[in-house]
Amino acid sequence: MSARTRPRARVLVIDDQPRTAELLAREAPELEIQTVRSGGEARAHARSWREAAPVLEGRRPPDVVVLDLRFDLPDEQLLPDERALGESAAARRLRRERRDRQGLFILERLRRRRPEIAVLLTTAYEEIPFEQEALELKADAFTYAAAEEESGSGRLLVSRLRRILEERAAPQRTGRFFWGTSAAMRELRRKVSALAPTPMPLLVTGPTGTGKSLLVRDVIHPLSGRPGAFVAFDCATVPEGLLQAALFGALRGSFTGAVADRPGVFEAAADGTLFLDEIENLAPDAQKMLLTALNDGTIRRLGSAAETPHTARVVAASNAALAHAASNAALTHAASNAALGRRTAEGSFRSDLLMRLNPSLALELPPLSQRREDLPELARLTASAFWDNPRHRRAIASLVRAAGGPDPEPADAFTLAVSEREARDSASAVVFVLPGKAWAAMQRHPWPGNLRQFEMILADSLAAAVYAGPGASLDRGGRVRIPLDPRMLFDLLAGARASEPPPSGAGFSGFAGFGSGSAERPRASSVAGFRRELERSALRALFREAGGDFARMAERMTGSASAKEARAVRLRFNKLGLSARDEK
Amino acid sequence: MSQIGDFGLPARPPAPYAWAAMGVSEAAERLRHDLAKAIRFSAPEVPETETEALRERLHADVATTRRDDSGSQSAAEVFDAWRLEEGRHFAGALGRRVDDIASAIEEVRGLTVRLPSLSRPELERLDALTRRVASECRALASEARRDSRR
Repeated sequence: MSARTRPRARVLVIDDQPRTAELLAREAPELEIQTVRSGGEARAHARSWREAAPVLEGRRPPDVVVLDLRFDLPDEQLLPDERALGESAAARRLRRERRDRQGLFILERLRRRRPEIAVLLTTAYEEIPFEQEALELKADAFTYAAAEEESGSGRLLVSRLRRILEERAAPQRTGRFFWGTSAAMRELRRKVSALAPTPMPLLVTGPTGTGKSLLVRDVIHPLSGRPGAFVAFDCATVPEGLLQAALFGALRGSFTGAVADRPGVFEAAADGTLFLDEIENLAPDAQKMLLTALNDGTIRRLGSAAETPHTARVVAASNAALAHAASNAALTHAASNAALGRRTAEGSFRSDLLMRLNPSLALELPPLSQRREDLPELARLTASAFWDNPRHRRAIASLVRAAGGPDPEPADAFTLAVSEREARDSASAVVFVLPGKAWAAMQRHPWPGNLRQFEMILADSLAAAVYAGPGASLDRGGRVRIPLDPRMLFDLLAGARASEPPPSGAGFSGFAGFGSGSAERPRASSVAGFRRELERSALRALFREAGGDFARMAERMTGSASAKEARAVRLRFNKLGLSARDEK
Repeated sequence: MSQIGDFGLPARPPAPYAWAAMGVSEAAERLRHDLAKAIRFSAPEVPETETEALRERLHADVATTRRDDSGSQSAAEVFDAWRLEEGRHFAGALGRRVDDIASAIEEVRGLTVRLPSLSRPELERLDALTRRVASECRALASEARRDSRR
């Protein structure tokens, strides 16, 4: 995980036809198109998963995979099982489906083995029937449809590929906000770049710990170019009676204790950015006043009859899970925020205020469990931040001296190795060694507290290794090894799973089995029937708590929200005679 | 093995597609994938001013539209193979659209054979035909999709 510069970005083309690889070689000579060996021959494209796998799993994996959707291949080269299908009508149907969707089969397998590699899925289909599945599998999608109209589609493919590489090469942190390179975050980056400089109010959504306030403070406010201050206001922490004064200011004598005129946060954020966190907790009266402030551009201090213009740009955040559908008719186009949608439907949050916050343009921060490909870089940056802390550095220096190593240099002198192989290959003077099993557990962990929780647990493990570990040792390569204790890490992960409250609006509040008495206990005339009813009840409860999102149900059940798991849950759900429409 | 012009490239006889025709919409999408995408795959945003560059690009897109280890297929051969397997499912307005594509393809076929000796105006005509074929294939896919939703 040490930072190394690469002279050329590596691209692997997986396509049954050679033309994409030829085009890239011709139009983008700065890229290294990876060679695939098959049957003693070398070629610039892999025609199947079998040909691609050795490159993907080798020591020089690609930075980006360009993947076609349709593959005209014999059965024995088609995933998922590479077997002959026969010539029956059913076999022909299956063959056709496998060929038409082969890119998705490959993508699914690739994601399991190499989650960190960017994938550009290409298709000629105008309406990509598999777009949602591609997105769930964290791939960028490129359709030739628009490109075919006038200019050469291939050239546009090259420019799209270059953009992905540039985005991946961009700094992974802006201030303290972590971007990563997942497709969802690169899309968010493009959206933020477009929206931040505008004066329009914005809504940021995402579960707790995903970095909403950092995004507004370190990215949106600086990009806005506004000369005023960034002012953060947590709507959940101010008592209802004091909200109006806190937001809009108060005149002397307007309430007991108001001994002098006092500005509110709107005035403090003049010509700047006012960040309203946990907006869903705003009291009804304050919502009305906020709506007026947004609609008319004016505010009124408590105790004053005069309205004065304000110049703050409002960015609100909702500490809520993302949902892909809001049932309330007023929110159908918003379709972005389950908690706000629910509160609006209940009448506790004004729909006109939600609309004013441009929910259709909401900036959605995905939970960490949906961007696991970013974990290695996040771990590296967390370790860097630990390394850069002067107090920790002094402690590390004394460990290194005790082990007989040289004083560590500040710049890039350490590596966080997540396996013995990485530790052996490291060129750094100091290597923190995280055993492979512990790293695998971190990669599987659901991370309900998201980035904040990940950073905290890794930093705690590093601190334990430096301040309370067995010490450092000098290896044969002259590197100083500082081992992280896997047992402590497992304990921290177990504690995090047990103690972390579910994200508000996102969590699964009551699904903990049927022994509590609070849940309805199913009845049946046989043991098998009882088991079936039990499973039905469990799935129904989970369905309701997941807001009808099968991916979230799958994540809750298996720890994975992959399209495959979601499909399996959906199938089981239907097989038990349940209907998503009826349950909603 | 037939030969395409003086390029000496082997032209594989149209290989029948292994899958059976099932849905009209899916069949139209396949034509779009295999022909519409490929026939203008290398086309630049601005047409080539150099005649030989234009000829070279048309050779890649029209004469060797699909390739694998056993040889190459021209755009006309790709269309023939598709029509052999799927064409009978297209009737009425969709059938007429397929006929339109076929008539454009016939002209493409004639020009492809003479590709090495085509004059500049003929190359430009072939380029325009590739645009027409791609556009007709897109229209076919859109109409078939609309029909399938009814």
